[in-house]
Formats: sequence, structure tokens, C-alpha cells
Amino acid sequence: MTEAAELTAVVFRLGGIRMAIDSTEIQGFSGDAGEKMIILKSEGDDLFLPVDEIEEISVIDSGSLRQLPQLLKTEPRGIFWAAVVRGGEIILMADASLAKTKLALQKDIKMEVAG
Amino acid sequence: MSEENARRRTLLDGATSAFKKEGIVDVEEDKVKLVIFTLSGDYYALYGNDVKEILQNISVFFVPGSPDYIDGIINLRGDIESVISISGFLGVKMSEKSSKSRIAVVEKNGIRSGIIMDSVVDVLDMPLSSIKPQLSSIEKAQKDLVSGEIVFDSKVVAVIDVGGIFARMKS
Repeated sequence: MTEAAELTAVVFRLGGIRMAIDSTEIQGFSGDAGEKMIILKSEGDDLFLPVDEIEEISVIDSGSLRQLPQLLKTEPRGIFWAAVVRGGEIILMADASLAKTKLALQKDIKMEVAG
Repeated sequence: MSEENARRRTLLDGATSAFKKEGIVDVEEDKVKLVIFTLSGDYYALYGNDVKEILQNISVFFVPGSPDYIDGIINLRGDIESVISISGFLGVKMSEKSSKSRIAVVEKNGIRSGIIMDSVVDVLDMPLSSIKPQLSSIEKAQKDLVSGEIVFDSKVVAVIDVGGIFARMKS
């Protein structure tokens, strides 16, 4: 019996949105001057990703990774490649290109349809 | 005998006339299920066959960088589904979410997504013949999004073609 593949991911919040990056893409962390940064591996200069908060380092079973819906597969192009549900909340799996992209994080961070 | 035939003919003609006058519905006629909903105060309809379920009280998670028509994603029993707003395509103002807001999970041509609705008004079976072709006056930009129209509650209601909406998004 083969074991399900696992990946270790760093879970963080950016613009209030819960995201995670595979730890193999991460070089380190920096917390200078109160800023929380994830340093991502890059062929050139280090890529710094300022985040709101680093929440946890989590082992994610590949079986729990969920494909993004079809209508989201082309946009945002390649930045988010899957999602995981933890405690009812969706965590977006991002890749290192997140640090290079200016995304609108400020509007409608989380919309709640009240009952 | 011919007198008898004439009498029968008169009776049948009378019945047919009464049938038409009273608007009696032919029970044998094919029916179609429609979900009537509101968007920005206007009534619209979705084919019941396209609607898998209607959700309320569910958190929608925003996905940065996604197109404007995508409100976000939802956790639907462990699966992730997109939630879209069709207001922009229909040329109506996007409404604030309220306690009456619902999400219809629709599926067509292998694509599945939630559609935000301001409220669900009714789910009903209507005779297929009551769906009329869309008016020629409908805006050209919306023609491929509407498959017909019905009269409901004295209002003309556009029947949304989910396939047309998805095709527009993909293009």
C-alpha cells in the first residue's frame, strides 16, 4: 500500500485572506521592524513577501488538496494552484509568483452571505 | 344520422371554445421547472434542470486577482466551487448582500458554479409553451444570455441561459 504524498506548507494571512506556500519554495523568514516577511527562493534576488501574519507550518495530505473551480483556472494565472479546507475555512495554495504580482487584496476580502 | 353528427359537432365546438375562453391548461403538455429569482429588483428565471441546489448562509472567500464577475469561492461539502455575479452581464446594478440572498449552484456543459441571487421568489412548473422567444428589443449584448421569456406575476421575466453565461465568461 502506498502512502499518500504530503507537502509541508507555511500557512499565512495576506490582506486577511488565508493562503499557504509549499515550504520547498521558501528560503526563510524575516521579522525586521515589525514587518513579517516570507523570503521565497528565487534564481535571482531574494523575493520578499510581506504578510499580515504567519499562522502555522502545516503538513498537507495531497488527498486533501482541491482543484480550483473551472472558471478560476485561467485567472489569476498560475498564482493559486489548489485549495485546502481547514476548519471550514478555505486556504488558497499559492506559488512563489505571488511575491511578484500586485493583486487587489483590499476590496471585498471576504463576503458573507448572512442568513 | 347527419343530424346527430351535426349536434355532436356543435357540442365539440362549444367545448373547444369554452376550453380556449377559460384558459384551461392541457395537462398532457410538457412542463419545465423554473427558478424565479430577483436581481436588483428585476425578476429572472433559471431552468430548474440547470440548478443543482440553492444555498444560504455560506461564506464566500474572495480570490485575489480573479475577474470582477467572480465573487469568490465556497466550500461545498469539501469541494470548492466558484461563485459568480451575473449582474454585470445583464446590465443591472450589483446589490448588497442580505438575509434573502441565495446562491444557486448551476451546472451546464460540464461547468459548475454558484450564481448569486438577491432572493428566490418561486420554484414552479410551467408549460413549455409559456416560454416565449426573447423580444427582438432585447439588447444585443444580452441576446446570448437569455433563452426566452415568460410572464410571471404580471411581469415579463427573462429566462437565463446558463450555458450562454459560461460561454461569455470563457470568452
